[in-house]
Parts: sequence; structure tokens; C-alpha cells
Amino acid sequence: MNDPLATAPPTDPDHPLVRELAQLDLRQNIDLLIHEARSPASPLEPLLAWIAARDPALLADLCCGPRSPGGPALCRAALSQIAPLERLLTPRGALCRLADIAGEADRDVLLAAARRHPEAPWLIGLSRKIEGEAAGAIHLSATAGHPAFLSVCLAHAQSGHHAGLRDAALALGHPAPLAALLCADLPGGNLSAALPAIARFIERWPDVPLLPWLAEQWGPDVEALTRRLPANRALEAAIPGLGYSPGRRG
Amino acid sequence: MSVYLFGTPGPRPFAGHFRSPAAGADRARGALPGDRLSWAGRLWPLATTELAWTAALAARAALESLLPEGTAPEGTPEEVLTQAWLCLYGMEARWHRDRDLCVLFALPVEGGTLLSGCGIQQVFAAEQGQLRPILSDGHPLISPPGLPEGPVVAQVPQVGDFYALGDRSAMPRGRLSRACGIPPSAP
Repeated sequence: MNDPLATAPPTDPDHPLVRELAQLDLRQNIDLLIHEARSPASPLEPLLAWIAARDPALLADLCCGPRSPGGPALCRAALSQIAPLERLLTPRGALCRLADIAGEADRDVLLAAARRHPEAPWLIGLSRKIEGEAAGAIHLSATAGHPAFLSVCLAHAQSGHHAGLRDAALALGHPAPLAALLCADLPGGNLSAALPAIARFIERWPDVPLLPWLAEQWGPDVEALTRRLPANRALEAAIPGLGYSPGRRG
Repeated sequence: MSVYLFGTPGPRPFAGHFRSPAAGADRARGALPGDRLSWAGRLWPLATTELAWTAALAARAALESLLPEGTAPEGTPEEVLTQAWLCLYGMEARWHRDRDLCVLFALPVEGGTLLSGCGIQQVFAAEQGQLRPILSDGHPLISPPGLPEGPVVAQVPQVGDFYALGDRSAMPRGRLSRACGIPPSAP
């Protein structure tokens, strides 16, 4: 994925179209802008920065309005002007609309949304829409280290995003997504999803303290959980490092 | 008989929670009063995940020193409860610095159950499938968190499992087992 937020757009646009448009009424030439946005001859970021400075409402029309051509190039460029778009359309309105019309850049939009609004509840549904079975992976990777990370994990767990939680835990080496799996009140039981993921996590991240995170969701009888993990030499070796005393296993 | 402490509302319901070993798991059940002592509590629930876990382990280790190698403390029921409190008083002072200990002990005796604890808002007993509060307003067991100077011991006529509502907790909704962190039955 590209990261449109990583570099700020130029503040002094030097876009061929800008020089032409500077002499015109922008509103009356939106067709020209739409044409350019559909098939950009050069990077769109400077053009959008220039429009944002002159007419934010036009920026919103061009990037998110019903006539917006959408597409990856325009939506990635729109992320460079996401602040004025959010002011006009609300964060949810701007980012969900951009995600809808972004084509292959929809994950860039989701990443930007997760970074800007890590606790927004609408990110759960947006994640499912964009990532499908792996819902949550982008949101969780973007919010690891944020104070609300555990709450975000719990929200994805309540929506049944097992694969995203498992993948995020394994990728990040953070136990919170697995702990959230234990908390979820899901049909069929949450243990069936959590136990294999916990076993894989211990094998991959044997030095990460896992039990403290599991216990605060599961309850104090954490041995009743660890007893259900499959017998495995790697797990046995890892458990002492997790602060668990094998001598107390039943 | 077991004692359970309801989880705390919020994203970390069982942070700092500890509970007496489950029946049949780690403790021998015999005829001595100490065999039947149960407890549930929490310590440092607002600390970080790792610190709350460490605090819970410390409390657990202190109380399980009552039950070395599957044995049980001897004495009258009152003496057993005193020994349990002494285990908590014997912990390093830092664990009690924040005065946030909530704990409930229960020990079945003839005619009912002896209860003792601190940081408890209410205790419930399961009667005919319903949880019923058993402490009247102003009952001496309803007390602020933190080690008490003189622990209260009260006998109640109820027997069976007890469910405690700790300080700064609200009655949870949903399944009782989830609210108390009771593991689901093994598949």
C-alpha cells in the first residue's frame, strides 16, 4: 500500500492545469477538473491543494461528490487534503465515501482512517467491507500502541473478525487481539478460534508475556485455559517464560 | 462451595483478579476447615496489564501458602480465617500501597457459612436459580477496599456458591459465568 499521509503535498502548486484554472471560475469548469482527475497527466496532489485553498466545497465535490470519477489516483491524492474534506463532510462521510470509490486504493483509505480516528466505531464495518475475511488487520496494525488498542481489538472480536485478530497478533507480537478473542461472546464458542491462535502465538513469540493479557479477559482460573492448549514441546518450553509455573498445571 | 468476584466493567474485567484453586484441580478436599476455605479477590486492577497480573500472582501465592503440598491449615474456622488474613498482611507493603484490595473469604460451618472480606459492596447467593443479595444495608461486611485494621467475620445461613460485587463495580449483565470469569466446561 502507498502511504499518502507520509509526505505532505507541495504548498506552492506548479500544475499545468492550475495556471489555466487560475484565470477561470472554478465552479463553471468542474468538468475540466473531473476530466483531469479521471486521467491525470501529472500528480494530483498539488492541484487538490490549490483547490482546497480556494474553494474547499469544490474539493469535496470533486473528490467525494456524486460526479467524482473516483479511482486510485484521485483518492490517494484526496488523502493529502483529508483534513478539509473531513471538516466539510465529517470524518466518516469523507473517508467512507473515498473508500467506496477508491478502487484498488481502498486499503490506503482504510489505513488513513485508522490512523486518524483509531477509536471510530465505523471503522469496524469499513474494515469488513474492504478486507473481508481478514477484517481488522489494517485497523489493528495502525492502532497498536494506541491507548485504545485493546478496545479496538474487543470491537473487532464482537464482530467476529477472528482471522484479522489472529493475523494482527501474530504480525505484531501483541497478545491483546488474542485476549479479545477470548472475550467475544460468539456463536459456536470463542475457544475454537482462540486456542489454535494462542498456540501459534506462543510458538512464534515465546518471550512475549501472554498470560497477563489472557487472564484479564478469561478470568483468574487461567490454568483452565492453558490446560486446553495442545501438547507441544515448543509450548512447554515457552510457558515458563510466560510467567506460568508448569508445576501447577492440573 | 466456591466464591466468585464479579468482573469490573470495562475492557479489562479481570485485571488483578485471583481466586482459590478450583475444586479438584490443585487442592485436596478433606475434613479440616481449611480444606473448604474459598476466596476471590482483586488487587491493583487499575495498574497495567502486566503489573495487575503480578499483583494477582502475589496475592495468590500468599493465600496458597495456606495450602502447602495439598495440606490444609488447622484450627477452628475462625482461626483458619485469621490465618488467611495474616497471609495477606504478610505480603510486601507495596502491594497494599493503593488500598485497593477487594477480597471475600467463605468457609462453610455448621448452620451456614462464615464470610469475611473487604472492598465488598454486596454478596449474592444462588437460590432457586436466582442471585439474591444476602447483606442488608449497613452490614459490617460492606466495607471500603484495602486491608482492614480488624477484619469482620460474619456468619450467614446460606451455603453453596457466593458471588461478590467488589468496590467500584456494577452488576454485570449477561451470563453469570462470563461475568465471574468461570471457565466454560471442557469440550
